[in-house]
Amino acid sequence: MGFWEIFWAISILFAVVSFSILSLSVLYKGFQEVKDMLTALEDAENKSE
Amino acid sequence: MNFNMLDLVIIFVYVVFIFFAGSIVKKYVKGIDDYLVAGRSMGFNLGLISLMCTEIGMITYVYFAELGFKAGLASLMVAFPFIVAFIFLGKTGFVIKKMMEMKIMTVPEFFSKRYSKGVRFYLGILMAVGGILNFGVFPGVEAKFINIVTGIPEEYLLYTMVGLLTIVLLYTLVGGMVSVIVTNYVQYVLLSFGMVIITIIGFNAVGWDGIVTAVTTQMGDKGINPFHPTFFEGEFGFGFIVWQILMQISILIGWQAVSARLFASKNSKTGQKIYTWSALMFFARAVLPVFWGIIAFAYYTKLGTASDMQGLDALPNLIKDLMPHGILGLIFAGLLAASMSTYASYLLSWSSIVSQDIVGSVIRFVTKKDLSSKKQLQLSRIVMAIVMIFIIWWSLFHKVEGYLYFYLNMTAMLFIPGTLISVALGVYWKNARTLGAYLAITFGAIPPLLYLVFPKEITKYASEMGYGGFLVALIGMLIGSVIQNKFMPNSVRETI
Repeated sequence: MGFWEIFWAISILFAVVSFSILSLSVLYKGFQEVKDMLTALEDAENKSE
Repeated sequence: MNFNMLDLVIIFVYVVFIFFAGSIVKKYVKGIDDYLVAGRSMGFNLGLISLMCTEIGMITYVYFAELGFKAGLASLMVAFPFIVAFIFLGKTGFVIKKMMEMKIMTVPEFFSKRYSKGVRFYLGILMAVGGILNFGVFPGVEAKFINIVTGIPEEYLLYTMVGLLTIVLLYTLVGGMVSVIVTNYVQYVLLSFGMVIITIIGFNAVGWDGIVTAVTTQMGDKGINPFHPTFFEGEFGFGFIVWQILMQISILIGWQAVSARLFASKNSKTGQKIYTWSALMFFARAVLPVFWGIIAFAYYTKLGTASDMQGLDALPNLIKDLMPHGILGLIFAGLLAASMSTYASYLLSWSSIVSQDIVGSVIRFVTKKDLSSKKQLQLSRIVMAIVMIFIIWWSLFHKVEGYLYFYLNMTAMLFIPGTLISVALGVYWKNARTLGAYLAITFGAIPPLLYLVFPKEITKYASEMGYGGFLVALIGMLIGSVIQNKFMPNSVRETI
């Protein structure tokens, strides 16, 4: 195997693994942020009324 | 029809859910501020998800896959400038920190604060032209993608485009940015799942040896070595890397659809953190679809049909041919949703540039008063409808030469070099003047304009045109600022 073949194999593997881990992490923590954002907007709506 | 009942049910349920979510959050949208930047209420994780969803549509996958299909493993080099640009901006806060501290809503606003309203107006025009020409190829490419994956005959391309845009327009008008952010979350679930699953299934179909053999036998060393024949002469060598790093830094600062996400984050620290972590996401956003293109090349080479296939058709064919039912429906729903949020964001972004920075400026100049928030919203929606009609027309009649990725880069280059140079020097060089900004914007637009007007002759010089645009924009800024400081040191700011 030449240099570029190894280099691209590592790059692709790194992209798949890092993307999977990071995606799971942001989806898990982002769920709470969705709820917080909607609550904040709803509170603002109630105050203005 | 390539879908079975299970695929259709998945897609239907998903589209209904998206509209339902959009209409629920609509009640929170009161004025133009909520509509455009979601009231600056976005945290880190949602910001990251939202940025990814905005910058991933079917077209993103198609243009990256085209690169992989036509240029092989060497084209994976396209992913590395993203890492450099994102980490550089995320870690240093170069320019973006100042812009966020100024609480600006659009990039041209910076120009009216730092230079003059005339520069803002001028840049707004170039931004609108570049942005809409960029956006103009989306419906055609994506409708073709949908037709291939679903099995709709090619002669119905126009109907697919109109159908797609109608869904998007309804979706956008229902809620604006707030609904985009909420539905993005769900879209990202499907999107991330789809990206990983296509990679695994595709890879299993051909294997690493199959990929390397197909690329090296059909493309030679050029297909695997980005610096073939030398580092300076390679298609993905020195010139390409410099151009792309400058380009991606500029996009992150001056591309309205991206920077709108930055301005929607809670504070500059959150914005910088989003950019730093986006480095990995955007690396994968390029690597995976380029790899799918390479997989498609190996797969169709094995079948003996690769030479008859157009680069832009490689990915939809691969998805249609390799994905099992059920997963096909999920992937298609994810891609459709990804495109909807991309369209929604781009429509909001470009129409806000046109309505606020161009039409709004003219109305202010004529009537001597500002538009009300309600009128701005109305104007923004009218502009959106006009933009939609234009992009359908452009998609039908414009044929892209060379890589689609380069065409999209060049349309952005119409304003990107001038924007980066004017913003960066405007922030860090107190002698930067209005005339310099005008010349930077004008000079920077010349190389991409040449590329777009004479695509056949200039396609092979894309990288030179790319970094050349930044170089001449810098020269323009220096010349203009020196002249103004020397001959008109106390010149009055222009008004429009």
